[in-house]
Amino acid sequence: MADVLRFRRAATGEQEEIGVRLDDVEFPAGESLTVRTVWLEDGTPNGVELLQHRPVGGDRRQDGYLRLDNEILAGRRLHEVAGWPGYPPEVIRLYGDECASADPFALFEPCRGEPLREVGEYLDSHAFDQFMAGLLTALCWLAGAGIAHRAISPDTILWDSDDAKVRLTDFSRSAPFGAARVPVGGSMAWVAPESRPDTCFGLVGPRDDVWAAARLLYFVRSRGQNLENRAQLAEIGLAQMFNGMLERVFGPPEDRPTARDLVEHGLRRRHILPSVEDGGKRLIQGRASFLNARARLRPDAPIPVDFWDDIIWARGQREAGGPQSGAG
Amino acid sequence: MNPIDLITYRARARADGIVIISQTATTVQDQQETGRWQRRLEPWLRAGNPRGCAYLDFGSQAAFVAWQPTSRPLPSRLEWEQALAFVGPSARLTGTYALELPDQARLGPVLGGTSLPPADGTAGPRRDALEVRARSPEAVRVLIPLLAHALQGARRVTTPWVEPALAEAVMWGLISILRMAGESGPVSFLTHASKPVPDKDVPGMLVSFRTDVAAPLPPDQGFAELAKDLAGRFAIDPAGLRRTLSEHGLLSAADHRGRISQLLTLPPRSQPGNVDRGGTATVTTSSGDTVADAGSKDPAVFFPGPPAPAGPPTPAAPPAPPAPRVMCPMCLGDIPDWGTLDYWRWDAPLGEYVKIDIPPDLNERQRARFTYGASVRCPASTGVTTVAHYLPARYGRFGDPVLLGFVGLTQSGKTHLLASMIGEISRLADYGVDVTELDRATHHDFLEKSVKPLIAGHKVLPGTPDDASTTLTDAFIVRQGNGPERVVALFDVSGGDLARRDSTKEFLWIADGLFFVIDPDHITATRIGDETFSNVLDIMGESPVPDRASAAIVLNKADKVRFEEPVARWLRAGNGTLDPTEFLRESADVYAYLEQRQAMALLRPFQACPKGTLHVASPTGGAQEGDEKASKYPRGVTPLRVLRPLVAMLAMTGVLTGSHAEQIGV
Repeated sequence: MADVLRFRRAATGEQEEIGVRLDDVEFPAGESLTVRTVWLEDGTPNGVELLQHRPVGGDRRQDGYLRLDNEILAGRRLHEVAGWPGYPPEVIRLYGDECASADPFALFEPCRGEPLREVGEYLDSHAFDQFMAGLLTALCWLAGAGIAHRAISPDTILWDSDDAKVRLTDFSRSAPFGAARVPVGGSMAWVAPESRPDTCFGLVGPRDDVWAAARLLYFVRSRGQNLENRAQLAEIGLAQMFNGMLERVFGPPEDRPTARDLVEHGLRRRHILPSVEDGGKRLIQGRASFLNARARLRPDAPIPVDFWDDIIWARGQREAGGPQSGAG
Repeated sequence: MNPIDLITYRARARADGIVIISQTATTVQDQQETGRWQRRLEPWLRAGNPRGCAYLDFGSQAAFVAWQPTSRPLPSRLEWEQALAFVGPSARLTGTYALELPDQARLGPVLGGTSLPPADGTAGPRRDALEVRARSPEAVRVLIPLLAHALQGARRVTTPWVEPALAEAVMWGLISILRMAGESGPVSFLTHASKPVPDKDVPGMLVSFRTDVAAPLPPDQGFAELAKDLAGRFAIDPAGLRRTLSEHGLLSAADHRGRISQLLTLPPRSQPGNVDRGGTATVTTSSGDTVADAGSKDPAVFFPGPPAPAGPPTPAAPPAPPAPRVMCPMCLGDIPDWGTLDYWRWDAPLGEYVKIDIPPDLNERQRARFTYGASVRCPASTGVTTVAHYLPARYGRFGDPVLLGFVGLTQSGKTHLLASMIGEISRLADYGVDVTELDRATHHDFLEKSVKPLIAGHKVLPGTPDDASTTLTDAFIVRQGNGPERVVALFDVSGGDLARRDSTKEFLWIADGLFFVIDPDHITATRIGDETFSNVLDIMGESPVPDRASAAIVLNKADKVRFEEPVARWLRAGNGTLDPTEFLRESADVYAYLEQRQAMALLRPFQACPKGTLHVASPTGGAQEGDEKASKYPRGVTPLRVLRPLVAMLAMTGVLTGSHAEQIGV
């Protein structure tokens, strides 16, 4: 008799209960999660093959709960902004989740491709261009969903050479924009200074991922080398490709370009930008409504000058005064 | 083999001002162990500087940190460059061992090249000098309030900074007296800090000597008398004190309470067996230095009042406002002269309060024995129509108490919010706020019955019974920096009770602040929550002094909606600061969240009260297993953002002051 899984289906938001076959073998997925294959028995001959992520047992189980929550949050947010049919192929897709019980899990569709650690050095110029466009497009989708991946590296990004697609996986360290940054461990080559354990500060925002993304572009372009200094960007033509904008990625986070900036003003390929709505718009409208109500109750109450800084990330827009405070 | 290891750390300031601390050398072989020590010590390394040292007892392990002085100027954000940490088992690396280490050991011996004194309880090279200094009048002045707080069971004690050698002598004396009295609990200290110190994983007592504090929090009068007596005996004859306490059974007392009872029955020093030798005693160190007339009979030498702050003069703390009249939160009756009330004690076998008869000829110390943990009875209790009710004896000693209540529908999570809030209340130190429990027995009772079962046992707490009257759940003495002490009293009220119009709660008329608690499931599932809030606001509106209370609307159990915006971001926003902009942003986002769900009635408190904030909070971090009341939280309990509503409320009610605090809630 098959096991039964109860979960919330990402496409519909509805609870489902369905028979499954579970793989006997379970693998580590990072430090705090495990992964195994499950087959949903949907009436098709082989069933629907999915990957089930679960927290590990023991001392790291609490951390596992948090990591799984991060994956579920990212997946749900992407479904909200993209919907099921329009879901970006560059990002691993959440199929469903069970987040309330003592044994929670997330179900993902299998992701084709190999880690860039293994195949990155073999991409030719044409493949590199597709990789670059795919990576930046994926980051634009994440920005639209208000999520930072926070673990971009050759180990978490896959390259599918069959259909020339990049795939972002492992959202276990991801966080919504506006959350306080928590330290990210691992190789400092892939963790931006503002997220390292000894220098962690500030709030997560849409500029967090471009630091590691730019290094990954260099890694692939240079056939597996780590970026040591900014001058190397020009040596292999990346600086010129982005019209001098890529160097700014390595400055303080508030001065970095976003992925959208890199595509639009660096590569000057506006046409590849995904049509994803700014996920912060609803927050901005909500706050404006609050300020209206507050102004009616307490007309003299001031609005701090930095009130909008955590949701309006574009410096130009902020300096222009943001939304008209209290005017909706 | 000496079980104590050494680790050296280096601090450097980057161009952007961020200070980075890294390990430079160690005798610890296990790399994971050194990583654990750095994570554990880093906040302390950032808090201290070469003008002080730190001893940190983490339970089974302990560390002693000595920051190295440097002669060359440092960048503006850097207070030190090199620090040396001694780490080891706390049974061997004790506080007195650390203080007795020779000066050259603290200056950074070549790791593994300089032998440390044996950590086996034998006297260290500095013991004699420390003892002499600890018995000096200047040390005893500082020691008395610290000892009083320690006897009272305080966990976090802040005292004005004094010069380093004096602070170390005081701590040596404090630890010595506590150990003589059989108190074996952890005692940690930081002898120089310019701001609130980290307060995360140090069990037991933590004493911090702060440059931004002008006077110590006054201890309870009874404990102060007891501390004076013990410190005086210590100054005159430490060996005699040790002998007296041992002979008096202190070392065999069952627990802290038993030890306090024993201490309160110590015979006076003039009685046989406790000889006050009188005259002038000179004390000679092993190096031949003659130091002090520690045996002066003049009590003023030891007890002349609060110590004078060292260093640049700082403004003295304003005295607590006089409390000629306190309003009873139970019956709204005036209590005209708090100091003249009789004392009462709860008699568990009898199941009732019994009056304490205090003989009129007792001295202060003897009187303290009678009044320890006592209550007073509201004078209105003598009336025909009013049921007898009691308050902690210290409730009215710090001016008008600030009364805060929790309002919400049954099962909105008020009790869990209150328990997790009190469980984390010591973290108010991160905001520069010192907190001491008002009544130790009440606090201990709440910890045992609510906080520990929830936080450590992961158990679902029973809700407040519907028929319960409004009672004081717990209360604290709260002090921001050098400001005055204020009593903050917390009330948990039955949710079902408030939903009935006819059950007017007297305390709502005099409440200074109310937490309006919302379960996300109640936003759309029912309109009863709306009614609860409306009833409360109506009752408050009937008060003779309307518009006095502030409101903090709390979207509680927010873990239920933790994937929704803006809840996700705020649950992950960390502990935050007193920045009013952050409070305003969170208020705006939660307001919009409720507005988008048509829950306008739940926003009424924000509109009706002169000051208001909105928050998300999760007292448990996750859901309980099933709906049964005896169930558990299977994921464990990790409270999120539970202190933020309290911080906002303390600011809105004037307990916290300053330009930032004044802007919160407007």
